[in-house]
Amino acid sequence: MSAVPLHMSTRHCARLATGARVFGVSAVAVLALVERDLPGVLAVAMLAGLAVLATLATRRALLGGTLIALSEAGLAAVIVGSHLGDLPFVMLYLVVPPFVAGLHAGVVGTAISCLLEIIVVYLLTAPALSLDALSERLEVAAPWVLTSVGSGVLGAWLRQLDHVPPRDSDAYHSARRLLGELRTVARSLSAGLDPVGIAQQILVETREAIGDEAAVVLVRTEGGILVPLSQDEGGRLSEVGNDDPVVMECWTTEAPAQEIVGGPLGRRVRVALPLQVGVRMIGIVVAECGRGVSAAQLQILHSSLSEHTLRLDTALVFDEVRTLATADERRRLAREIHDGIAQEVASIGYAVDEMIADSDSREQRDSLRALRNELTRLVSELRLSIFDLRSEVSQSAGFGAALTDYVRQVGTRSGMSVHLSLNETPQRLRVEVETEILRIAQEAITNARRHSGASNLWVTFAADPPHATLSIADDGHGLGTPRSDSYGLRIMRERAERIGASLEIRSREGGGAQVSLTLAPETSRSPARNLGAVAALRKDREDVHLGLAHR
Amino acid sequence: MSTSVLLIDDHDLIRQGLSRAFERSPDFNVVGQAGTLAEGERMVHGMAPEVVVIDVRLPDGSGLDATRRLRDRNADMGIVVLTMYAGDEQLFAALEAGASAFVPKDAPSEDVVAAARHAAVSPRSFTAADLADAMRRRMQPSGPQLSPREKEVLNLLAEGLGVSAIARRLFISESTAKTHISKIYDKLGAGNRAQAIMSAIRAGLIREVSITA
Repeated sequence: MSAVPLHMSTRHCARLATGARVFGVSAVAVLALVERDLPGVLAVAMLAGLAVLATLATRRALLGGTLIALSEAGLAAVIVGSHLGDLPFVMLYLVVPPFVAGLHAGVVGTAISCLLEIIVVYLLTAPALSLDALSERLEVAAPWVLTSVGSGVLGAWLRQLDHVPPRDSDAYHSARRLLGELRTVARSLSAGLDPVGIAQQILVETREAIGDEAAVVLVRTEGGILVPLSQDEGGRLSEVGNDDPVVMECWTTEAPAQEIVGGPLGRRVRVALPLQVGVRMIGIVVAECGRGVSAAQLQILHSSLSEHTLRLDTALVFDEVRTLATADERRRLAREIHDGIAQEVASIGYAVDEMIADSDSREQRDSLRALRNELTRLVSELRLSIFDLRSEVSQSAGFGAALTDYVRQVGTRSGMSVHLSLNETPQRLRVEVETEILRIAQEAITNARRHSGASNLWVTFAADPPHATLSIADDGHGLGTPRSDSYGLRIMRERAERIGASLEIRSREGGGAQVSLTLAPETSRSPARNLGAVAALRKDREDVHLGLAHR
Repeated sequence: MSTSVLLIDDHDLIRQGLSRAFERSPDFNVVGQAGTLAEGERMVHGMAPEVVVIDVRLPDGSGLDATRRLRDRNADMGIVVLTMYAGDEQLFAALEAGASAFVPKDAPSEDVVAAARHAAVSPRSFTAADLADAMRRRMQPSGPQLSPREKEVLNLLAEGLGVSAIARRLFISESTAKTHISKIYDKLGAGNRAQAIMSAIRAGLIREVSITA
């Protein structure tokens, strides 16, 4: 029975019923031939006719399956009952209808079918017999009744198998369950869906299993590039790139790989372990050890990471979906401001222009001009808000390009001299993280533009994935009390928290304010790297001066 | 004789404000107003106005695309592009589409009239209040800057040529080629060829390259 496939179709069910009928008829026929009895052959012919009729009725769907099965039981009982006196062996066929009924209508069908057979056979035979003969017959009939019940239960069980939900809905069930969990977790934000946190758990587990000295989790981003998500050492492994031989081997073979590398501490073994969800590669853990790791150890670690990997994948997908949804919403908002309030304020501006033109009094004209200037400023702000909402980090151009574009457009309109300094390595952060950093930069620059009264703005960004720092400083009149807990600052803090970065807002030496963002996803083994360490990158600093604004 | 003007903008109040501004100047005559591109273009063909004032974003399409179509049909029509968007992108797009002037919507209506006056006189030139700043911003380098020679070497690197092949192709010695390559790596902050190509693509120094994993 174990060979019966789990998805049993209705056709399969009909075939089993036909098989049972053929078996029943043949068994009775063989017995009839042994007895060489004419009435026996007649009974067999009648049973065969019934079997053919039932099969045809099922195939043509003339009646419901249950109804056919029960009619079959009744008619079979009539045939068997009327021949029982001379030919006890025809009772064998009584096994067939309960089986068929079980297939079509489950245990209830079997029970009704058996009961029907017993009643019909009893009614046809009992009146003709004496009490002694009856009990003798019952003895003969009992095993057959039991066999019928047994075959019926078998049919019902097969039917049960047929109703096991197919695999597709299994997938939906688990997807629904996961989404439910996701909703719960998403409400408490980044608690369980923080990719960096999960990556750190992977690093901890890896360290416990193979005792590495340094490790990094790389994840695949759109475009097939691996980016570092988290590392648990002072940066020695941060230069592990997509073209590292051990990474490439692991990526292409989808199996753990090892190689011996020379390092500052002598010969080391670099291990790359694939992070897979099913057959899909989502990333790689690269670890450096003092000694080789056995294949068995790697295999154990690989399987113990599978749950973390699934969670990591879910978290990354969730992050991506959230970023996409947010971007959609921002675009919608930009359209709404563009088509609504901005046009209305602009048209009020035109109306004031008309009032200025029509006015005779010079005083009135002056106050109307002041109003017009205010309206112009307001429309400019709305235009910049639309620009803010529409600026995005592009997958191809890189974060530096997006920041440069933004700073140029917005900074130079403000009357501040903007000093932009970028320091990026070829590796990139995840777009989701870059997007949050850009939003923080936008908010900080907007604050400086609106409130600081500064003449200089310094925007500094350094990235050495998974680390990054952003600093926005001005030489304006510093932090006012109302600014420190403003809505804008709260949003900046929330954004920083979402990517696991720390945000500091303080007065700048020599006047003004400074907003510093530090992204340093480290595990507990090493303390967070300080700003200086990240700023002191291999590359020379490139200062791009944007010149004085001309307004 | 007054100059005929057609206004295309989907916001009634904007059209109204602008139309009153044009009426205040005796040298202009607003001959029509449209709220959609389809209507606007039909009116342009029917009325042949001397100046068209058109918004960048209209319900049935882009005013910049319409500008391009209008310019293709008529080289001497003044086209003033209006926009609520900030950013140089729109300004340069208007310039490239063949507009005669570009005015943001925060500017007073007199600016629009002045731009239309300019457009009527010299439709094939281009004027915008922010033009000089925008040009300056555009010319500023944003990423790493390579010398022309380094760009040549970079392109050959991207084609997959080795050091000696590059040297042969550019008629320079291998050591010179190596120097160029290491300078490129330095400027791009790259440690190897693949990283250099990747950051060059990102900085827009090379357009496209097929990378095999």
